[in-house]
Amino acid sequence: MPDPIRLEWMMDAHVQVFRPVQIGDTPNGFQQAVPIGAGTFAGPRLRGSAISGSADWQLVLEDGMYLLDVTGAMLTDDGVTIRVSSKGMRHGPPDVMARLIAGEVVPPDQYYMRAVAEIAAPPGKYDWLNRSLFVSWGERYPDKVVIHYYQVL
Amino acid sequence: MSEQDNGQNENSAMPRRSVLMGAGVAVGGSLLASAAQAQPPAAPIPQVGNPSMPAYNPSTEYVFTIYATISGAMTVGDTTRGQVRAIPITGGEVEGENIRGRVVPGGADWQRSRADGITEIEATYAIELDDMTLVKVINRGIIDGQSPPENRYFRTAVRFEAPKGPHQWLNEAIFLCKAGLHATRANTVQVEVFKLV
Repeated sequence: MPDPIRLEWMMDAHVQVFRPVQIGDTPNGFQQAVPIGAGTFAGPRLRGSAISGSADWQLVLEDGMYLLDVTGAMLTDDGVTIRVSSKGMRHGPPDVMARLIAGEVVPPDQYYMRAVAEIAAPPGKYDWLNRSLFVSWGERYPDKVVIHYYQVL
Repeated sequence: MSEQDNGQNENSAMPRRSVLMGAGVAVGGSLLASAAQAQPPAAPIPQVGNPSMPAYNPSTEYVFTIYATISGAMTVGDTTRGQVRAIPITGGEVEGENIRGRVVPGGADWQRSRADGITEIEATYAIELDDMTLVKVINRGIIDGQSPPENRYFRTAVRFEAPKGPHQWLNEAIFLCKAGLHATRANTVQVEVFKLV
């Protein structure tokens, strides 16, 4: 059996989120956008602030699956702006998902919130971000999300 | 199959729309403006502390390997966004402990080689499992042409679209791949698929 792909922790992001702006039912599913506010991120090789103004465009499918799609920017503490685009999913047992929607605090191991992140950085110190795949797992709280990012080695 | 464990039970979809609608806000102006009007202030902006490892770290679990046979590249050539080509996918096999199947001929791996030595890849094709289920495969990732040839960085994230039913677990997780040319089989790309847990 092949060795597993190793993941190396890159950073944690803590970001404000607001209540969803709902488009409603569309031919592709129930569409809504969760506006994203300010935040911070920190890891061994980079840290700084999340730039507010993006949104997580979510599609809720008939089985309760949330498809997540967010592109945002972050500003490192040494003044470099970096784009982070994440596409992923959140799902779990129906009662857990209902508690999340109701605004309760739910332990993050009760649902599956994972994404693949593509990062774009200018040449220089952060070029390594252009040369790897990244994944994340997330914790959804009523007014913020905590996202843990990993480099796919 | 154990991969189904973390999914939702079938036939028990919650009354999603009514719950969602109850949380809605009146929309006007920008996303942030409407959000700010309609709800209490969000949590204080979290401050950067000393970075420390998360309490939980995800891992990857091997699920199966796709052996895809390929033929000669169709070259679009030099574009303003790099060298573009497509590698036709002509067939192959899927081999795993609990899953077997074949690669359906007719897909392609579209590649874009950037000036920085990275090749972006996006392969779209179908696999047919041994119960005749067809599954759409969309595999996106990168090859780092500057990484050592004996340990080439060729990593992708694959999204499956499987029909409702026993293969639903393929829709319900992120899958990562380690890929490369097969060591001994000619014109064959080996794609080892892992579930992100």
